[in-house]
Amino acid sequence: MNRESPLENTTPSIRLRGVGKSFGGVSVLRNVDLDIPPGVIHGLVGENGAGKSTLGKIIGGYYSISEGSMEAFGESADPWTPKDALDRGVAIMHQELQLVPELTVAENVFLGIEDHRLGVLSGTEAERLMPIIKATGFEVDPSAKVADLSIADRQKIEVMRALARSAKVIVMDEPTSSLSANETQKLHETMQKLRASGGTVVYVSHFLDNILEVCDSVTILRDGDLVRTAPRENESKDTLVSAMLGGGRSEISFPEKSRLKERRTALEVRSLSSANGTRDASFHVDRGEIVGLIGLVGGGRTEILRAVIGADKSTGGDVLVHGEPYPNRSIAESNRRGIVMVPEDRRKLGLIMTMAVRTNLTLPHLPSFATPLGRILAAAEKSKARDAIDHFQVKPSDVDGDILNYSGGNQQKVLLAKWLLRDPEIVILDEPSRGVDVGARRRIHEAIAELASKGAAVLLVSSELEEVLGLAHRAYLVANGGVFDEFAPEGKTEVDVLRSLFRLQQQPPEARAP
Amino acid sequence: MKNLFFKLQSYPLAWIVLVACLIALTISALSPYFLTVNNFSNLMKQVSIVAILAAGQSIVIISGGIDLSVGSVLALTAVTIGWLVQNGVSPEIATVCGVAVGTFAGFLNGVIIAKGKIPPFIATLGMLGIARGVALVITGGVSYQVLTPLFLFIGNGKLFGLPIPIYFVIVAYAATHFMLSRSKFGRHVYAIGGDESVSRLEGINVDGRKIAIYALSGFFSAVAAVVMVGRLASTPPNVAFGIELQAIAAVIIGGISFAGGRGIVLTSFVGALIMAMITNGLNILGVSSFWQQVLIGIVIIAAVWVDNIKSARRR
Repeated sequence: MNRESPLENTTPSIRLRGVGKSFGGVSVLRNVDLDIPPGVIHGLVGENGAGKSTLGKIIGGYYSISEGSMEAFGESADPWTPKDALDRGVAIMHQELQLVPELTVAENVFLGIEDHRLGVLSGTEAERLMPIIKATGFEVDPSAKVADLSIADRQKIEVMRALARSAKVIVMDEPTSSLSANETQKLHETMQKLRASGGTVVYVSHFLDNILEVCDSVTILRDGDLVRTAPRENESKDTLVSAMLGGGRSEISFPEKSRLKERRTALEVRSLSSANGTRDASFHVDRGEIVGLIGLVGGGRTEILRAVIGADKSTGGDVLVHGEPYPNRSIAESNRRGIVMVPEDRRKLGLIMTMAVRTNLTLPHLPSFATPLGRILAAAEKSKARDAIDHFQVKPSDVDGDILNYSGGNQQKVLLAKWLLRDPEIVILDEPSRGVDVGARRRIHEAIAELASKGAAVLLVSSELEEVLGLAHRAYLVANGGVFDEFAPEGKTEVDVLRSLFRLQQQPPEARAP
Repeated sequence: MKNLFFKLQSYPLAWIVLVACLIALTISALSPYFLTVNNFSNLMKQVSIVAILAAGQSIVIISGGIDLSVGSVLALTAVTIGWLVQNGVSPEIATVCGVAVGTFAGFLNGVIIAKGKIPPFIATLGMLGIARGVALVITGGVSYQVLTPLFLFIGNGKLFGLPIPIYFVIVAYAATHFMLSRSKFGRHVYAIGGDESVSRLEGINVDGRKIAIYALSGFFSAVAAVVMVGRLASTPPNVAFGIELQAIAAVIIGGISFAGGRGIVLTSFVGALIMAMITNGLNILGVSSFWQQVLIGIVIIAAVWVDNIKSARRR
């Protein structure tokens, strides 16, 4: 970005040089150089997991950088905690809002910077809020309790909170994901007002139309690398999408797709709805078939899976297993019927990190290794665990190794091995290869293909389009908790799929016919 | 030396036994009376009640919870036995009824925690007051004599030269160790303590398991009460006041992680033994009991400190 004009203040608000970030050895951001000048709205775009949120959080002080250096307003940003960032005029608005629900709007906005006399609050927050409300045009009651407000209103409070701290740079991480079109428009006007008064907005978003509408410049990330930073005039939706996906991505070969001769439906979901956001979802999976659900993060993919298996209560619709209705679903009952779910996030949902490999592998299957009175048959358990470790090539191959010490890829193999231990008939996979190295990923893909060739029905959710297109026989698009647009992956490119997905996500749910 | 220290991290039982031996050697070097058969037998009798409570407490702590009510449940069980014997019920039946009452109190803890979603600290703090209060209400604050042959045997009898309470301890630890290391239930205890939400996704009946865990802790309190009644030959309603903290301390000193999910129950026995040895040893050496409390406090903190150093190495 060499557009320095002698008339402007040329010190960038934020300057990153060679910035990298890794979590537990997995690199999520590499060698990022970026200058964000004052008085602009700067967009960050990329696929799921490209590193745009991570970059936003680094600027806001929520993540420390693993490599490289950062400057804010020309001075070194080290140390750079959220408090340092706020003191220096950099605020962040989170995807997950961080407000105190029992306090009022005004109290939340001025939390930590209240007027006080010797520690006794003056209670002037509501008055102090009025100018900010006027400036933004937000319609919120300053004395309303945050717990009673909608998500969209809470987001406005986050914006006002940043303004109340006279932030000069505000990072907004997916701020419009729960706003209506009208509210999004209001937020964009607010951004423009901020820019007019010399402020800078870093706008992280999936919604490319929004980015193109309001940003001055855009940075595109792909797999943790910065592809390019360009003025908005040079970009269109097409150029953004192709840059996000990348042309010359190394081709990974996938195992061959086999089909069973006889097609029989194993799992059928009819108009399923659940309290946590699944809306009227219908789809089916045949025996021996891998079916992908493709959607953006927050599109409701995981919620659909949880409603199918019985981790969340459904509020309507039916699930049929081999043609028989399966009401009152629960995880334990699903496991008994040979339906298993391999959850995403192995550390939080998949494995018990205090236990060994063997005990993790057999935990959901203990009844088949135990006497009716509950004594575990150690020899049988050990040999089954041994088989699973060998089959998935888990390394180190010690049966009683401490799972905490294993690499992410090997933990993921253990997680899959656990749920596939007793040859389930219906397998639900949520991000089966997230954050693992190439070798482990290949072994996982082989295992999934093998599973289907042996007759299991596989429902696959993955943020990596390439993986779904490479493995699945059929796929559906998912947006706003609903399932749409069944298609066969053959002949489809990632660009095609992503385009239709962005189109779906853009429409409000009620305007769309399933 | 440093290497040996870190090797021992994978053998928590060996580690704590080593510490216990070092303490025993130090005290016996200072006083010839410590390592005598008579004193040892005495020590085992002293340690038995806290040790039995610590076995139940270990299950609770490994499952990620805590049980503050064990002392009060012990007292409730004791006065139930005393009151029934006083009213002409046979000591055997009174014991069965008392143990049932203690187990029921633990069961209630479990129901409140699992179904009422009340944190274990709060629920059992409530039960600490309720059980002690009921014990006082039943007796009106009076202590009953229970000089029956059964309780005299439990309190003062010997079998193969060893005092009877020791056998209670052996059975309690053998059963608990087997249960935790070899049974489905035990595996679920570790799983729930390691990660409750993952355990639910595994299809484990977490609520049911929790109820069983606290009922078991109530059962162990009741068994400890039987030993207590035997030793005292009476049932004062204020018996075992504050003993829950000793039981928790024994578990912690032994090395079971307070965060849950890890640990071996046998270490809790050694933890209880270490506390008893310090008290007993300092008594023999003529150190004031006030200083004993200070020392035990230091031991508790030091035990967790060492544990932190060991687990920092693990990562």
